[in-house]
Amino acid sequence: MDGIRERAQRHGLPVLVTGFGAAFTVHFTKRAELRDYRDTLDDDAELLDGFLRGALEEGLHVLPDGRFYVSAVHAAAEVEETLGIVDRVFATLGAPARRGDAGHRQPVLRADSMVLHRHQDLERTAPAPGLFRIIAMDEKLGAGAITQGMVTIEPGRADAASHAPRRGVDDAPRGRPARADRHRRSPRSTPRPPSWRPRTRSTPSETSGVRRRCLCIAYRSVNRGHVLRRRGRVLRGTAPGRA
Amino acid sequence: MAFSSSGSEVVQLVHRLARAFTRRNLILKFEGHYHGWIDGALVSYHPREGLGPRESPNVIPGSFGQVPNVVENVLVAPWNDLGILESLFRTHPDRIAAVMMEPVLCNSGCLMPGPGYLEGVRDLCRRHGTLFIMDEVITGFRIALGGAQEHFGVTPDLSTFGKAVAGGAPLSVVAGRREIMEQLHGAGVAFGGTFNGNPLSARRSRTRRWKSSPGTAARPSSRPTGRGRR
Repeated sequence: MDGIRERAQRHGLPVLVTGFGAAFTVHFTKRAELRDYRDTLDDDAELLDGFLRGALEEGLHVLPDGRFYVSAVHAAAEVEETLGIVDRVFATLGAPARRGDAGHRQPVLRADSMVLHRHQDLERTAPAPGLFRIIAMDEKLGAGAITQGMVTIEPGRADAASHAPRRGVDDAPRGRPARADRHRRSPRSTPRPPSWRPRTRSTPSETSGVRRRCLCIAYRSVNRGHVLRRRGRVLRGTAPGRA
Repeated sequence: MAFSSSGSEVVQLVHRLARAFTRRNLILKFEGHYHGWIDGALVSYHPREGLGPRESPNVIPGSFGQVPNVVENVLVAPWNDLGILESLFRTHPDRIAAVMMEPVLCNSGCLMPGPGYLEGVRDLCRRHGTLFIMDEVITGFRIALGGAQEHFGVTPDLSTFGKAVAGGAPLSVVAGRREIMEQLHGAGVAFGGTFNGNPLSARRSRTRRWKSSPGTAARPSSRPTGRGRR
């Protein structure tokens, strides 16, 4: 929290960070103190929107109200990485000429992030099996329409006809019989419940032919150490140093 | 204590326990506070228009499809203002079953309670025979292992926990005074559900407790003994 305050001051942004270490919110407000819900209604929505978009493009997902949760898996390295991203995004927000332009900057991404136009593209793009966090933002609806979800890319499943094979994943002959797939708990390509898909309210005519500007970022989940452990087996290529 | 799966479910339970215990109907909540998506709790969460005067905010349902008369069973007040809360107690004598709040307003900007505010609410509730409920679904095990009630040293009559209590497994908890909780044992307060107190979630919460040591919650950037089961 102190680190964010300091960087906001450096870039001349009116930022108030409230909360406690494990849960805090970055407010873009000129107020010196926030006491209740109505005080937060004066927060600068445009600056917050630019901050959320900028952070998302760098692979940092902040809750739509500017909230951060810090948990036990976050160590000094993650804190430093986050502060680096916050600093770069604050720099773009602080420069008046760039205001309102945040959504159109070239993304500067974490090394392991992938930019997708549709979350389904992850199957082709994923470098190896594993658990991925996907964050999608519908550009038409703004930062309020950020959705996210987890996708498991599992090894060795015969590819469905509608999807291109994943190079380097399906090529390896370590598949289980295709029959077993029917009983698998979570299918490899998780068009999971509609709740996390990029919500779109555009009509089909708008989407056909033109690729919608729906920014989607995927990166490996930090939870890979244990979330993928199933039936006493860690999926190959998921735990650090085991790939 | 009573166990369920999600925060909303235990909010339903504390509402019921409070109304049964006090034989009163009104639940007082605060603008901007979130207590789950059930009909009786999803009011005046993030209203954008028609808020009404600050000292007596309008009660605004949060979703289409809610039973319309939820607004008759809930009072809404601005948070962090003891004077207004006191006047609401005066205008609704012997009608408020419980005052419910997030002890740190996490769902509307992570706002902290002012000095003495929680103590003041505690005292007002005691004087008016009203139960004080802390919704610790977010603050529990985060601001301190004992939640906000440990951190601020104020003990509510009932509290709800969820999220971090089982480190990601579906578990939520109601903790409260014995005489209130004992209504669940043959006193006519119903609490049913296939997964209430299910062994899988209970087991997972045990694992989390072993891995947490005192101080872990206060120093979130320090690694605990491991990442879950390793």
